[in-house]
Amino acid sequence: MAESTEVISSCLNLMRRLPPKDIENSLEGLLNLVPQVTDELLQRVDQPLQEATDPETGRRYLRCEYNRDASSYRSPWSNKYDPPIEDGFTPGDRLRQMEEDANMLLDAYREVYFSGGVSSVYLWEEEADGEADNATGAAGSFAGCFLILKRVGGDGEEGPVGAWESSHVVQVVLSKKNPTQATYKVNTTVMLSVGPEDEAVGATSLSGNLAREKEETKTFSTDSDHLQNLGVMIEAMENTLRSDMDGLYVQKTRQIVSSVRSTRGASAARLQSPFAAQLQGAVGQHGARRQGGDLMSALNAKLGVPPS
Amino acid sequence: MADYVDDAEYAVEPVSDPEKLEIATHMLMASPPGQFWEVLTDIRKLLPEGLLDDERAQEVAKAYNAQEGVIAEVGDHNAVLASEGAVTGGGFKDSLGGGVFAVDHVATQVTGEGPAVGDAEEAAADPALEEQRQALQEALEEYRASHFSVAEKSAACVFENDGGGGLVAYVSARKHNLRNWWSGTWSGRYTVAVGAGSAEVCGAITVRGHYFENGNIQLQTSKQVGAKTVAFTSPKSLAEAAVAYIKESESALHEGLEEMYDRMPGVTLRSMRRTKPITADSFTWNVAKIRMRNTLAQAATSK
Repeated sequence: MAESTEVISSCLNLMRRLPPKDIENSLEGLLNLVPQVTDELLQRVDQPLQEATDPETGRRYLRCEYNRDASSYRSPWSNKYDPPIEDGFTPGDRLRQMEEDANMLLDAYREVYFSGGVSSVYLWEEEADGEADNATGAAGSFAGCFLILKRVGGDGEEGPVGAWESSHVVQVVLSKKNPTQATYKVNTTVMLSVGPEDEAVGATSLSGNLAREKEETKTFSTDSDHLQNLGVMIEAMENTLRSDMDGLYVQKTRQIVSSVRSTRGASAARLQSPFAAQLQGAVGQHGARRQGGDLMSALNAKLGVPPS
Repeated sequence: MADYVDDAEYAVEPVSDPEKLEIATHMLMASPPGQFWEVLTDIRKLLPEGLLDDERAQEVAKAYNAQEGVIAEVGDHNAVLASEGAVTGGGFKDSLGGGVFAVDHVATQVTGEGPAVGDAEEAAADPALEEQRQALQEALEEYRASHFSVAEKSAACVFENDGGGGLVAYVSARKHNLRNWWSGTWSGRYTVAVGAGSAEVCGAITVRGHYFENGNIQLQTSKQVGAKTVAFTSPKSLAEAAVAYIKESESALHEGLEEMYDRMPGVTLRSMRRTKPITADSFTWNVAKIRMRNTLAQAATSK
């Protein structure tokens, strides 16, 4: 069997090819094949979020790897594990205060963008290895995850059926040189699933995941500033992914379908003028040359116009 | 959550080699269009050396190709590697050009002429059914040329049904552009049960699209085409009626998909996450302000 880094990279390759709607099954399969990389795979592969109800507050919250301890999950509302366990991890006082505030903020944010759904924030201390030269950050650095799940449809309702999940894994690294400066890292994954659809399209599913990361250095004076700095980045990231999901990814699969079957038969296609055929050829060539090329120059080249 | 997150499980329950092969086979059968080889290459790195040997890989690829309606080039035309086309001895019938060819299933390439069709199989062919098969092949080929010539490769094939009593028709198309991170297939399989003066046509269409640049998004469609009885007076009229139904069913699915995509930005995605906040104002990530707002809202509802 291959080296561990090669194993991980093969696993990640497979996860980019296997159907996104079967992510849990595929991951389970991989964990069975290569149990030696279980921890790293669980960290690197985003799994669907699970919803649960906090037995103490009655509020819905989200379960993931980050609030799990053995087989119990910590609720962000009561800070308690369900089912209860002894010595389960809970954040220190300062971080718990931030966690409560962050949950309040994300809850309000979720309402204005998602109109429903469930959100949860979990924070944890980053190990401070302040003594070492390669220390990651000054004491007070922390990490966390901001999660949102919105399901639509189902239960025989009319309209679309599906789910949107956002997971933002964040890291706040306080500068050792400048006490008012921190580096914010946001690592975002969005998972989309749509379907099953109506009668016309049979059992159709459109599902996928996109990931992006971003890092910014900003100034702060209070802990609330960290949440504000992170929140602004999370919102911008989600806006970008929302627009890409629709404009790039979903519409791309539509183009793929029309690239294998034309809705109009060939008799209609034959009516196209020679120029239209030429134009289509140029656009095809442009596509083959990968993104980044410019459509006009591809067209000009095709039509023999020298570049301006 | 599933049991696998319980890390301790693996210490006590190691997975046996046959179980590993089963998992690998399952993943191979789920390969996206045109990426069987890529999935095979990665999966072999996760298995004990030699466990998934070439013979086994050919077997799984053969099943995958039949499931997905994968196309191979046979000289100047294409053929679907359908299970009904397989002949004893490992070759495939060339439904359009005649003859038998041998194929490397993993590479989906024709490697030469296949073993000749045995006398017994040849003798079993019913001349009347063969005439109907040829007529359907011709009509389906016309439909393929009309709607699938946009694809990189497409094929229409009609075989005698293994189960007897009729024909099996395939129309399949693909376009793979893995360098630009995408691939797609459209594939229909229909059975035509031929009776005296009438035939029953039914089948299923599968459509798959995969785009994986900095992500992984897949369209997976599988639609059953319900049985329809068509009357005929000649092989030609049987073929025309069957292909008319096939074309109508596939066009209905295609239109349905287009409508689904039309609804995607304004209805489906919008019902999940808006592009802008529902309120006129932009959202403020200010702890003090949101707390104040929540307190006021609570006071208002408790009045």
